[in-house]
Amino acid sequence: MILKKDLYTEHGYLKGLYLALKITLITMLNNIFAKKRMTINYPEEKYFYSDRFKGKHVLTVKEDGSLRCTSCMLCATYCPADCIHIIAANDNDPAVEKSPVSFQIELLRCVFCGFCEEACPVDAIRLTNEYEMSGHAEQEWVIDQHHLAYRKSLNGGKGILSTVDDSNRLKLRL
Amino acid sequence: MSSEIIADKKLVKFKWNDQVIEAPEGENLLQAALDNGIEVAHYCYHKGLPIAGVCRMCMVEQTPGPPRPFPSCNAIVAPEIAVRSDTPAVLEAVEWTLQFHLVNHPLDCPVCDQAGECGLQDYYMQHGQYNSAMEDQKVHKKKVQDIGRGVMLDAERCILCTRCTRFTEYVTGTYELGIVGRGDHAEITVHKELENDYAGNLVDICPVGALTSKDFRFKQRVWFLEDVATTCIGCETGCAVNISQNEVGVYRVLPKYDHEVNGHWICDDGRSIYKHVSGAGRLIGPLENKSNLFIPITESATANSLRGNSQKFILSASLTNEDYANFFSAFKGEKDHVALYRLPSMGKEFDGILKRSDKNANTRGAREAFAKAGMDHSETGLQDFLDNLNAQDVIYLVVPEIIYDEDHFMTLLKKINKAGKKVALTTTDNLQALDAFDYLLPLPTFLEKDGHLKNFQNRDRKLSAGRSYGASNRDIAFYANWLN
Repeated sequence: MILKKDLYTEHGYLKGLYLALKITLITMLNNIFAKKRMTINYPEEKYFYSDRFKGKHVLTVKEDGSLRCTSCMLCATYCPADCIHIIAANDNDPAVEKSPVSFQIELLRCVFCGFCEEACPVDAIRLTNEYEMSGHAEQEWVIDQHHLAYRKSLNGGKGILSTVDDSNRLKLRL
Repeated sequence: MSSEIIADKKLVKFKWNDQVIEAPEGENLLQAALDNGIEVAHYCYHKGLPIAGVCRMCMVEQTPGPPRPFPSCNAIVAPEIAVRSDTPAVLEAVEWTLQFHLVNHPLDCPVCDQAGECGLQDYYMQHGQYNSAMEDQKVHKKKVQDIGRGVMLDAERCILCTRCTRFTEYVTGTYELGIVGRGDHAEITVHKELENDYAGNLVDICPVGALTSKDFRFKQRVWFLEDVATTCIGCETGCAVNISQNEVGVYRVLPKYDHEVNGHWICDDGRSIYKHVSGAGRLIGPLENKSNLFIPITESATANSLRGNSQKFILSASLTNEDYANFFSAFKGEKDHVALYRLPSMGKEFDGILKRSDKNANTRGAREAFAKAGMDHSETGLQDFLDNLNAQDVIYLVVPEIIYDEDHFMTLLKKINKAGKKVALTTTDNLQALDAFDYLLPLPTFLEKDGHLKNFQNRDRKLSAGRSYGASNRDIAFYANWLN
């Protein structure tokens, strides 16, 4: 379908063609000769998303390296995809009381909406800008607390500190 | 508590806000409002306990009447009075009271088991929603105290409503709990570990998360649970209970108010009756004993190996009336091929509150059904039955769901050793005693069937079915004549 018939009738075939495909031609020539290109040589080069990107989950840790999560189940309650499974248990530290023995996220079910992040009262779960996820067996898509908190990409396995640590919180007597 | 005393009093009309309520004269004003579906914020008032009037949340204003708001729990219904709980003075009083309750509250809802059914959360949404005006540091008290009998105490969360101290004072009379200190430093504490058989009720009556259950601790959030109103099968009292469950399993037993039988409470034994219903010990299909290793087997294979012999039954005394009736109408064998096994009596005949020594949930119903079918339900009948066993017999023993004394049950098992084949009709497979059987066949638990039990008052108590955790839906009547 020719939208602007008058390009052909007014300017003739070649000029009309040039005017119609002007943007396409410029982009093509830019891509061939100019240095800046939109495409990258993935996976040798990686694209960097901003911190607001909702990618793979991370569980934050406290200064002593233990999980920040208190397993209050608000994320599991709020989750629209029902993909968070937590088993809570008694913690020996009376200042902590409750901590998860198992924290699993089914990545294939997750819709990366970020509601868990919103629901968390203690900044224990975040969505990172990590976007590369792959796996074969279904089991590889169910990630547990070790992967969520201590995978290599998070400070070399040491985990990400939450903004307000428990020790600070107790000092502030919030 | 007082409703029997004033039951014969005449009904009078009074006004609560704009609603005209009819209640017996002299009835508690707050209770009259609650009975008529009016939501009134309250912590310290509990129908089963004496009035304390300490939480100051149920304030009302009366015109004409006293010049300032007063707590409705400490007032009585009189004809033609008009009280309002929505005047600016009352609302302000309640808001400030709630603010004072929350001054030292640690706000650890994320780790608190009460979250979801907590009075502080409910009334904060109703009367609070202010920002904290607290500039000083909160007073911190001792958390995570195990005070015995499966109750955990967190003194910080307590709002000092004194429901629990009144419970140990007036209901059990054991006086373990008390309040020490004054002002901000006042806290609930025990002078010795809890030692009454009703300690679980402390958890239920606590309106906040100060007293929580050790058994239920951190297992599940309450908003994931649904309640089934049914009857406790722990003894012949037949208390009304709510059992909390979800698709994963059963989590706890709570008392349900029943004026005729148990009032507001249940005993601690009744709180553990749910444990065999779901989880690892639940028998979901027929099992065959191969040198003390139980291996799944199909129902038809079991039936084939049992066919051709005379079938004898020992029933337990905790099945429902309907189970007995269906069983006897389906049973075609001889009259002396059925006997009744009753669990032995334990403890005092009646402990003064709820517990009774007869641990069979339906002794009366069983005896009635046996007598109606012309069969012998006595101990001597069971003895004769056991003496007449021989190697050609297949004996089916209905294993009681709750066994307090496994030794007594073991002595019964020794006596049925003469039988050729022994089949247990059971809900669970994790009893040590079951190793003596050749086959285990599944039965529904008390939480998976509808029916009635006759309690110690000869009153029909209703069992209601909740979710099913077993794969088989065979009941006792099916096995009565299943080989023909």
